[in-house]
Amino acid sequence: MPERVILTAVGQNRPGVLAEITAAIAKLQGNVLDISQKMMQNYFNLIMLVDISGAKADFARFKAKLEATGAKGGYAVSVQHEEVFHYMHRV
Amino acid sequence: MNPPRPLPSSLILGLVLPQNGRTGDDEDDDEDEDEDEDEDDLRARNTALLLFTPEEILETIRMVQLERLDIRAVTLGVSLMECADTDVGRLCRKARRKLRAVAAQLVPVVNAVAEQYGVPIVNRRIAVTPVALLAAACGGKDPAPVALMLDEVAQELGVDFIGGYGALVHKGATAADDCLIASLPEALGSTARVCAFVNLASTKAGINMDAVLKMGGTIKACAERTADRDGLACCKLVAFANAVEDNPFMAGAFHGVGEPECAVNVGVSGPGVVRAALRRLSPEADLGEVAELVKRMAFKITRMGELAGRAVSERLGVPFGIVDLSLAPTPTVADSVAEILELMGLERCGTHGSVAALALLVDAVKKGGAMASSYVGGLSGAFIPVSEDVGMIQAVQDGAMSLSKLEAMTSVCSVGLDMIAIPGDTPPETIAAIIADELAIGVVNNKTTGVRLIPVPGKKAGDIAEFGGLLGRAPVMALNRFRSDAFVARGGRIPAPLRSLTN
Repeated sequence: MPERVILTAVGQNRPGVLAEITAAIAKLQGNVLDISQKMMQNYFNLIMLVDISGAKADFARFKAKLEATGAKGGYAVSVQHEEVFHYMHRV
Repeated sequence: MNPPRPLPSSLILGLVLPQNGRTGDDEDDDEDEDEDEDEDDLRARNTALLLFTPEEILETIRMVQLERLDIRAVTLGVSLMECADTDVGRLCRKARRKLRAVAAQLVPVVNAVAEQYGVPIVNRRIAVTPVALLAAACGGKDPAPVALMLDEVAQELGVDFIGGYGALVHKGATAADDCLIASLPEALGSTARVCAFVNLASTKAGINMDAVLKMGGTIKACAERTADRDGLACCKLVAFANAVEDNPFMAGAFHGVGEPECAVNVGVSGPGVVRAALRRLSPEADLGEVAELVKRMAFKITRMGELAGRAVSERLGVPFGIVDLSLAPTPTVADSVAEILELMGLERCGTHGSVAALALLVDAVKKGGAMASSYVGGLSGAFIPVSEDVGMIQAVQDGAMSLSKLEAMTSVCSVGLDMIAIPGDTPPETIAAIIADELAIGVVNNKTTGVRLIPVPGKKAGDIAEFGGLLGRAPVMALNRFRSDAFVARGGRIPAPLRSLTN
């Protein structure tokens, strides 16, 4: 059963931000399926679809780890189940 | 106002994003694990990866993080019918055993679901069979020990309120109903988490005015019993017309006789989300556009409730009951129904136009919500509790909102006169007359109305009553100084209206 989450990150851009996030995901064995990123002025806006069914962490721990990565790096990370978006935006 | 975040909220609110999300290129190299799924939606999700536009994703994140989208209550209804006994002590033991067996996992499961979907679930509650029915076999003994038992179980299981200490007397009261009503001041005064209701009227039966007068006195007695806490016991007691059997909201929740063994009922909320959406709407937008926007937001909010409710129901192994579409404010700033009406263009909630604005709001919430959930039920209206809504408190303090206007607003779909503090020296007959007025609105309009009045001991109009927590604080409202004693003292039953003859 695939367990897919949507990760968003917003913050001031600097070299290495994307690497930090993907490294944290890789460390937990999460699998990045899709990425969309946009810049606005000096801020980056990142949206990722990640499969965590094979990950070493369950959803709660994955979320906590990634949010902590964001807090350390100075940007806001949020992680939510894909199902939430599916329910809310698709009839 | 916003929860502490490392970044300014304007950043998330003001994002400029591409029009379309990436819809996964034709080939993806991670197809290995997903391909054996045969459910339609999963297959659809495999062909297109990011199915959502960035706007949709950010809208959801914004709703949860900045606009206080939450699920107000998950209420587990539990039938205690089998626990009826001739001995009150045995009844309590059986009920305690059953509640422990059925509801032990409620709080852990609700917490896990809230965590999984990233949406706070504010209250976990239990509703039981009306206690007057269980205690009927006890032969006129005081049922107050049942309330104590319910309070202890609620505390033990970590639920914040347990409802169902009540009676249905819309046509007449049994001996057990009378015992229960007489026990209310003691039962509510000596417990913290027990909520009570009495159904005094219905469209099919009319209004039981003998019981209405009795409730006037009971409400006074409940206030006196908790005089040191501004009459707190009255915050946990509702008088109803047309009470519903699957309402997840307190204080009026109970598990009706037509309900299954157990059921999970969900109360969604979201005045904050509706308010934020209206703020972004152009001031020139006409009321049709306002209604359309509220409808769309209500759809999204309700979907979250449906998702969470189904997850809780599945994990508990208990059937899913209903989603209640009510907009329920909290004392937090920006989570106010009054502010929504003010954003529609009223200078203060309670002024002329408030009834029309509320009618528009509630109708749009129902239309959006009905589409979003397979089973809609409960009260599904708007709550306009004075003490729990900062905009409403302000409106009362500014002199914009009066009891008469609140009463008028309840005729277009709000649920009733809720959490209204009145002077402590109000006579029981006047309280009964206020209840009778409100119930008449419910009976004639074939809808549920409730009355939760607090005659705050020792306080007069203009003073402030403090209840704390979700119950908030309320300015004491002035009443009409003319008496209605002779009217309510007549007693008897006001006959059912013509519209009850629908068969």
